[in-house]
Amino acid sequence: MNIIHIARRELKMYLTSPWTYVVMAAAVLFQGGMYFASVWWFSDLCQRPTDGFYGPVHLNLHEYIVDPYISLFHILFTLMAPVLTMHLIAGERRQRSIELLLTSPISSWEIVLGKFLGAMGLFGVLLAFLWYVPGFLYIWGDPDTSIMLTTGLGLGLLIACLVSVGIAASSLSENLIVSAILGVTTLLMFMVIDIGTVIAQSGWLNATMEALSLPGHLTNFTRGMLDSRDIIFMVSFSVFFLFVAQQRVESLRWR
Amino acid sequence: MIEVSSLTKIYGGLKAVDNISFKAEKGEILGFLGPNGAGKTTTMRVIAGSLGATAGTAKVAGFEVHEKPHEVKRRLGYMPEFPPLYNAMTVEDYLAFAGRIKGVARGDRKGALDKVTETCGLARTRKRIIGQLSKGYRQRVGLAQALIHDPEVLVLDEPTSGLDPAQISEVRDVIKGLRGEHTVILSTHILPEVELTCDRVVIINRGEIIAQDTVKELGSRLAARQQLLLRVARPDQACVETLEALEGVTDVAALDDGQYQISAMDADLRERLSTTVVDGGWGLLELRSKKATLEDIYLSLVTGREGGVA
Repeated sequence: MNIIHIARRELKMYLTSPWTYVVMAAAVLFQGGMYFASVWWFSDLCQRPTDGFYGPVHLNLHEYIVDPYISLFHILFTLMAPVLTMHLIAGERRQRSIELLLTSPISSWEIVLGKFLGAMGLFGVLLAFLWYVPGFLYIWGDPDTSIMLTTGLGLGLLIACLVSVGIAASSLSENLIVSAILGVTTLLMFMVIDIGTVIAQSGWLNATMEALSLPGHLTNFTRGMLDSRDIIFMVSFSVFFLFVAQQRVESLRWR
Repeated sequence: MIEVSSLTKIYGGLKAVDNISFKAEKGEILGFLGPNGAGKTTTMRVIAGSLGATAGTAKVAGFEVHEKPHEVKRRLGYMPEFPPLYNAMTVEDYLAFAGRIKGVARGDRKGALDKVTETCGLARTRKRIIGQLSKGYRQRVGLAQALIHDPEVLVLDEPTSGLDPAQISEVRDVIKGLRGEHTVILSTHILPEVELTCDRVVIINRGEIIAQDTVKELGSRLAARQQLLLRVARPDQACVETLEALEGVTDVAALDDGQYQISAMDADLRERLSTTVVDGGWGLLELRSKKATLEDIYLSLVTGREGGVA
């Protein structure tokens, strides 16, 4: 119950802050532009003869619109999530309001999970502004509902990962900017780590880098595959960073 | 109600609190007095559970703060020196949130909110944004936050700091109103505050307790040794000698301007002194007894001057 109280407060704070709307408007504009461009490109492709230069082209709505669109989400949210979550713990420490939470009968887990849910709620609101993306696909196209659902699940898990890292980064510094930078660099590292697989072509290093890649774990979802490895990875990824934040909040009681 | 025993807190080699023990009984207001940096805030944070102790224990209502933190926090309201406020929230929203996370039952929340806003004089400020409030009002919101769940124990860290005189007396009245039902620990470096509001005092300096007693007892401890201030028109050496020879006088210190500070045993010497001075022809101008105030005791203890009642 305390988790809900904290989550509600955080979400309310988000939704009453003008900055949230600035960030959301920018995100919606960017995503809308990209959506328009990919739909334009796809419809252009559709009007060409079906046998392309490399033989018959099998045009797939998911591969040409949904897939790149989700990758864009990943890039955009990698930059946005740490900025939107940087104040969650760092700001409270700076404002000293954290003492209210620390001297209330609530656990560190409740504090961290409350803030996590609050931030997830904000991303939920943001995604609600992008309702037209799947909407238009359904109106004028014929997307595969099961793939849309797995893609949605993948996106949800991805956001959970990004928000968790943001909260962990926020717990590590009292300075908002340091928190944001820490979060973004950590997330960028997990985004580009599979570039390393090109260098180390095989062996355990290659396997490790591949296993740690966030986009790598997202691919199966956008192809309509539910692989337990991906779900377990993303859930444990989030849990790990939330654990870091929880330990950090707990340690505040000792310093 | 509150029991602190052998509490020690070390911050990276610095002993902020060194093996202190004290108790506060149910319903009393305990003043926690000491200069800045004496370890008051550290001790209070340990009791409130926002800081762990290096050694020793603190018990609130029979629960050890480290072992049963939630039991303690449900029964304790803490107001830090800098109130933990969310600047973007309204007073009402903030206090409602504080009530929720402090475990006020759903049905009681509105009543609790009305009660604390009334008690802390916030009734007309409920809809204001906290970030726009003056220091005095922020302090009140901090106090309201500590009271919202009607705790048995209140820990208030310098509750009147930064307030104007009228607000100070208002906050003191609020605190005095808590006597009996609530146990209050109140830290301050303002001495009259302790004399006006507290039942008992713990004086702390450099992390150690240097005195603890009731306000009355501490006062009478020094009142036993009487201090008199005498002023004569024509001071000379013979005057000093005559005064020193009087029975019961232990010390005569000549101050400037014909003033003498006379230390005496418990008997009231005023009558005998006045007769002696008048008979000797030195010209009695002034004679008054100096009452030892808490300030004298405090200064003598903190600065370590043996019996140095100035």
